[in-house]
Amino acid sequence: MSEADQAQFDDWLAVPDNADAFADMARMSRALDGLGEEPDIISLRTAALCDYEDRTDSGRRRGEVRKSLFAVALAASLLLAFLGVLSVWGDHSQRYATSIGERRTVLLDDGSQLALDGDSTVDVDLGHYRRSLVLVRGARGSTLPRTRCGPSP
Amino acid sequence: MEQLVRALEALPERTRTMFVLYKFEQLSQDTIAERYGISKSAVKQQIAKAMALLASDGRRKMKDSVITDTVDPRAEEAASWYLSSLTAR
Repeated sequence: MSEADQAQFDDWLAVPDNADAFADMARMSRALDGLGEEPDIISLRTAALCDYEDRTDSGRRRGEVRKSLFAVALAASLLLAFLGVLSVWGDHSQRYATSIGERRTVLLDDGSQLALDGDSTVDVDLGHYRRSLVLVRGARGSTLPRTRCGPSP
Repeated sequence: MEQLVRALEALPERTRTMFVLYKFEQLSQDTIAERYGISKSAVKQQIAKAMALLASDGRRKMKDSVITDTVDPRAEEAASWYLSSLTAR
């Protein structure tokens, strides 16, 4: 008991009715001390221990489940964060499109040039390790007409 | 003594279980709290409630033997201080 608690206890105990109640507790506790081996008390002890064992297992299981749920939630959060970073950092896809009769040459981020015929659509993905150009739509269905995808000079 | 045993048997089950584990099985409040997944103060409250009900029952034992869930606040406070005054456990 801390000094503050002791002081509070002393103040409380100074009240006669409180002191009587405290003395009752001490008396009752002492009376119980001699009853531990009584058959009726042993029955109560057995029941309490059985409950304790049951609760121990379920309590531990609950604790483990809580820990597992936390681990799963943490893993899911990390995965989502990782995917989020990938989506921002790894997705460089950009679509270029021309209308009918329009010819267009665009300068890509890696310095190369992409020439598009009319009515064409190209998805360009300039990743760190590979470069992808997908002709989504093109006049006569040709593949990347007049396209130069080499590295910049 | 017989009256005290009967009063103990009449305690609410959860209250009695925690009190018996503490009093007769010598388990600490921390141990009980951990295994039941509740706070130590909640365990102490249950034990104090048991003591208050037992003490209150002892005072009225000449009148009747009925024990109820109604706890005398002074007795419960006395029980709480009594538990605090015990060393460590």
